[in-house]
Amino acid sequence: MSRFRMSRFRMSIAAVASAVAVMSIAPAASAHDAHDITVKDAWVKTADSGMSAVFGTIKNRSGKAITVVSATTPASAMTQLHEVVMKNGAMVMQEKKAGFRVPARGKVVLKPGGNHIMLMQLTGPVTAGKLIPVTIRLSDGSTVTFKAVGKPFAAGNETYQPSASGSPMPMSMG
Amino acid sequence: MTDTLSRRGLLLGGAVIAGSTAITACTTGGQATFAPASPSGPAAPTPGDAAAAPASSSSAIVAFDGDHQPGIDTPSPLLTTFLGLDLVDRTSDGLEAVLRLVSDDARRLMNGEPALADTEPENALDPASLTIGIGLGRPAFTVLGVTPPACLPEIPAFRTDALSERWGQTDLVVQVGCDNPLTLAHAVRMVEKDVAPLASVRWAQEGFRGTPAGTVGAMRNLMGQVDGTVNPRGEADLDEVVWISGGPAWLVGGTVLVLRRIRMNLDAWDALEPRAKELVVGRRLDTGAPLGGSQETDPVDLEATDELGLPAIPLGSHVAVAHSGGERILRRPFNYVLRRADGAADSGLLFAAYMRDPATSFIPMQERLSSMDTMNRWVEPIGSAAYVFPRGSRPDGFVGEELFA
Repeated sequence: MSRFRMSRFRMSIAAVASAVAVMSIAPAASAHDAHDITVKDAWVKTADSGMSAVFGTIKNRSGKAITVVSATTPASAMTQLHEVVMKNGAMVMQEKKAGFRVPARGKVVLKPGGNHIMLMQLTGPVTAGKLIPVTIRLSDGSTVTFKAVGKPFAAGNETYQPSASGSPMPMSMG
Repeated sequence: MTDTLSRRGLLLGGAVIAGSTAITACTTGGQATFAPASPSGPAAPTPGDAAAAPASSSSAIVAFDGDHQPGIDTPSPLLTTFLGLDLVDRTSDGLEAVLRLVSDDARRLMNGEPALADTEPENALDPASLTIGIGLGRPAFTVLGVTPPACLPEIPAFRTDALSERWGQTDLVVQVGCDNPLTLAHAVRMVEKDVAPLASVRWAQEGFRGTPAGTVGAMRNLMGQVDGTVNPRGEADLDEVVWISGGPAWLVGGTVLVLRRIRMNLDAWDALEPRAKELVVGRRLDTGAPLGGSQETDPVDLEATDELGLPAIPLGSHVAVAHSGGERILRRPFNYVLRRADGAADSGLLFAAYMRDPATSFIPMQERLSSMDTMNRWVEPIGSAAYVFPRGSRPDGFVGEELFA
């Protein structure tokens, strides 16, 4: 089962086209479906261009842990899952390659200064009150799409560290 | 006002003009009944540390969603701020974004929860009967490219008006009421921050009353008068006077706010003898009872006479002129005091009144008052604006969403 899921995961990141096929077989293979994961209170920091970030609360009502492995949105050409960690006395953000693990019957809160979905390359301005669709892909191959509302937000400009080995470089979240 | 005010002058001061009642589209809709916008009642008291828990009187929650917007038929709060907004992004999308953002903030904050992206979430935790409502002025309909509803006519300048654009008509109003000043300030700031890219604040009109009160509860204004006694009472009365029952879906259950800023000349008012003040108002200062009556809630009887056979309520008194046309509105007034740069006080009243249609209620009443009310000598309207409040939001929706369908 776990090997099967891993293979599906590889397929899903290999090509966008294969994701459709993955979804079609997911319901039969998976003990939990997309409805077990909900995203609420979703918002995205307003920005004219460059980068921004999506926040909200991801809830898992199933009895099994589920991991958010990736996210996509038409608002950004490139999207990463980020965490904020303390390094050398400074808060830095970096990609969280393992994804966001949502415990069984638990939740993960994406918030400024913590985990977030980073929009690395905005395709257009994110304006106040605008609704941005965001799709997260889960470890079982299924996807959940939600809308995040644009909110002006002054904070959340932690230093960004693009790789685990590199030195922190200042990078605005939006 | 330093001259002596004679009773004779008051009695001869006014003649009654019968108010004509034109019927417009907004008052001819089919009769509809609404569930009351029921407040969900006080939140359960917080057990534990009494010092940390908010005062039980201020933990009350008013529901945001419902047939009607909150802050109209819900009990009057101690404190209010009316925010007059002008759209910067003058597009339908921009207006929709403002309504969506303010509605989302309102729903959360009124429930005692932080707004999304709230940078001071702790300041949101005592809802204290917070209410947030949104109204659209006539200019907002230009942005939408549609004609304003008939129940939102231009409010004319009246004879005694000395209006300033400083307090004039804006695209939108956000009406915030609360019994906790910190909660109120936080809610206002949250709204301002959210809409900042889309709309600018032309004015903030802040007001207060001495005690919180129910829908029909009167308050004392800075002239010492009991203000707001005669108001619609109960659901049927509100349906008749306040809530719009016809027209498009977004309008049914809505109402129209007339917001006037009325400066008071308190120094001149102070020079009057108490009895003269009562003759100007037509009510007793101590009890608020109409002259000739014995208690505040007694009906205003313009036929009542005193021991000399003269009208107990002078024909030119505020009460007599206001009542003579029979128009009805829901008044929810607040006091204001500002300080000018030289330190002098600028005092007055935020006259906030709600009605189905100003053309058949407020406008004829104010036309009469502006020409005949003896009190005009001590008051000066300096701001005037009107807004239509769409029906209340549906759960997960936003105020006015039907306008963008």
